[in-house]
Parts: sequence; structure tokens; C-alpha cells
Amino acid sequence: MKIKILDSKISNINSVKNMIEWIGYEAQVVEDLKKIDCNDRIIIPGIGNFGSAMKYLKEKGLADQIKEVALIKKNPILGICLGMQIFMNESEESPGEKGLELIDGDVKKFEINDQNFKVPHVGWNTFKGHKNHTIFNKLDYDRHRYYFVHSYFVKCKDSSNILASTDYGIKFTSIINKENIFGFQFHPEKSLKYGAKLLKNFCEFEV
Amino acid sequence: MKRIIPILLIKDRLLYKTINFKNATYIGDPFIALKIFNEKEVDELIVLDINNQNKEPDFEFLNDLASEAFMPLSYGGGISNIDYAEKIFRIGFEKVVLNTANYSNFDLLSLISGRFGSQAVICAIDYKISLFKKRSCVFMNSSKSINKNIIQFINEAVEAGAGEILLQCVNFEGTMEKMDISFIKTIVDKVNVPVIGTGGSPSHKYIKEFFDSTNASALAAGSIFVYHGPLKGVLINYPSYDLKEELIP
Repeated sequence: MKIKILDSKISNINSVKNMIEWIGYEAQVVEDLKKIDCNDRIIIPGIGNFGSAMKYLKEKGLADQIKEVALIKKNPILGICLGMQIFMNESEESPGEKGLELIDGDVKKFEINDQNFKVPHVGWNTFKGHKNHTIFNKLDYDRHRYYFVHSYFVKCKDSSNILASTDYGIKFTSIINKENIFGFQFHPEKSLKYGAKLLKNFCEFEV
Repeated sequence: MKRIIPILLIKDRLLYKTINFKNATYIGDPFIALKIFNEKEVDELIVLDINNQNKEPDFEFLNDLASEAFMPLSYGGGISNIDYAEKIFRIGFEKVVLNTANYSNFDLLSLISGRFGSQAVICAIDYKISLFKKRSCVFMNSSKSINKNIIQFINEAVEAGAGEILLQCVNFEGTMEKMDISFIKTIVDKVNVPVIGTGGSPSHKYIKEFFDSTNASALAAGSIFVYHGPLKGVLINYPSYDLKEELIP
């Protein structure tokens, strides 16, 4: 089993690779998803702009490859931050640019008129799980916390795709899941042992 | 959530601690410090290369450092163009710290903020207090100063795209006596972005006083996280989870 990290040229893949190796898995940075074994896991990190990310993925044929891996081959696949947002239908960040449509719903901008909740949402926060799932195995719910940096958040149409939510002035979805497809709004690779635990659970997830 | 941030001062790939930006004392191996800070679950780390004003950042070293750091990281020292900043981000740092670059204008700050977002840019404001209690901004390891109202200067930095202000008084830095807390408070109340106060904190216990008396978003410190006891023996440390709950409102 390998953890394949898609280099979409828009993101900071190093940190993800470092943490995967730290928790004891073999990480490989790949530029496309043409050669994927059935037990490989895929991670799509992402920071930047929804529209330019989608344009890049479509130009390089990566959008179709991601869909094939996620929907037909059904490898476990994880999008982080923007990498999660592109799984949705579209985003207020880039109207008119279609997302990967792996999970039904859209990406909205935070509109909070409260000095205590500045946008972007930057810093440590936590989440509440909406249901039991192996991704939450052995989490330290008393102390766990995760590092967030974002101005947009996902809004699922089907609430069964919401695995966890976070409070920041409003309640927003911070983990999505549909079968083999996962998305984290926060950065597990920067979230100390708590992020490491979640990534480990993802690596061990079996469809 | 308020943050407590260790600052690691680096010189020739080793960890040092200064007093008033001078008298760099060797502390130890930054990689060992980093491992300990991972285990202690620090909120984030700021790495500053104090010997790197006019050189390109030591990317190889920073890459090695980032590969063992599983918390948010900031780097300052020798970021003189946007390509350096981009390299720093790709290596795995979330933010760059700019000080010397802001001496003549905020062009670089504005450029980096425009491309990578304001959350990726910390503007470090170093200032000195004169004998006549006048405070002025200093640059290049406190070797140059400008005669401008500090609040005005900070507001210009924020206008240009600074996402955070790291506010440090040279007179207090490394002294472990007290912080310039009333001034920090004045700045926090007048500035619209998160302010990280630093310079002079004497102990972990003092962190509570700091957060009780200012609305700063974070406290950063060096000495209290690398020294222990009155004889200042080297011991990398950080408040435990339970202690943090008491220190942070």
C-alpha cells in the first residue's frame, strides 16, 4: 500500500508527505493518477483559489482521473482544505467554474459580522462528529484540535455526507465523507498528533 | 483560541538566544528542540534566522526543519523577494515574517500578501525605547531606525496586506524581566489584525497576566521556553495542556 499525494502545483505537499512518513506509511508524490493500485490511498492537498485549481485539473486531465479513482476504482481518497472543496459542485469563490461533483453541495464564503470571528478563519479549532466512523478511532476528544486556514466552507445537500462540523460564528462542515471519499477542511498535516491520528485512520480505512 | 508561540532564533543552523538582540548565547540543536516542541504540542513556532539579513534563506536547512515540524510554522530572515517567500511556503512553512524588507516600503509585503493571502504574512515590528521614553521602529537587527509613529506604521503595513503583527521591544527582548505591556495593549486596541506580543516575558505564570491585561491574539517568547530556573539552565519546555487552560482566558 502506498499513500499517493497528488501534486496539483497549487499546494504545499511537503508537509503532508512528511506527516505520512512520520506515521509510518510510504508516501509518494505523483503528478497524475494513471498508475494507481487497488490498495493505494490518494491524498489531494490544496491551498489557493477554487477556479484556478479546477482549471489546472481540467487542463491536465486530472479532473477525470480523480473522478475515475474516486467513483469507479473506489480507492480511499482524501481532499484537504481546497482539495476538499473541489469535491463539491461549485464555489462562490469562482462562480461558473464547475467542481468535481463527487459530493453533492456547494462552497460558500464566510459572512460573519462579528469582530470575534474574523475571516479568514485562521487557527486552532475542534470539531464534533455527527456519527460513528472508523476515521474517528481512538481520537482524544477531550484535547483534540486542528489547524484551520480558510475563507470558504462546504455546504452538503445531503446531510448524510457530513461527518463532522465546527463552530466559528456559524456551524460549518469540517469533515465530509461518502463511501471511500473524504474531505477535511483543516490541515491534519499541521495538527500535531491529533492530525496524525486522523491521517492514520484514513490510511487504515477499508472500503 | 489565544496562542502561545515559542520563537527559535537560528544562527549557522544552531539554536541561540539573545538579549536586546545582542549577546547570542548558544542553546543547542534546533532539531532536538523541534522534536520536544512537537511532543509538547505547541500552538505554532516562529523560526527567525538572526544571521541572515543579506543572504538568501538557508533553504536546505529549513526544509530539514520543516520535515519534522507538525505544527504551523513561520519563518523570518533574509526574505528579500517573492521567490524566496514562495520557496519557503513550498518547503512547508505557513507564514513568512518580514522586517527589514519593510524598511523603505511595503512593496514586497504587499506582493506576497496579494499572491498568497494575508494570513501568510507576518509583519515584525521591532522598536526601541529611547532615554526620553520615545518609541521608534528599528530594522535590520535593530541597526537602523525610522522616525515615524508606530501605530501609523503598523496601519500602513496592515493596509498593504499584513495578516498579523509581531510586536517586539528591543529593550525588553531576552531580559526575562517584564514586557512593555501597556504599549502592547495600546497597539492591540488600535490595530485591526491579530497582534503577537513578545519580548521580556519572565515566566510561564506571566502569560496569564499578559492575556489578562491585553487583548493580544498571542504571546511569543524565547527565553522562557529554552531556559529553566534562576541559573538559566538550558531546558526546552512549554506549558502543559492543563497549565495552558489556566493561563489562557
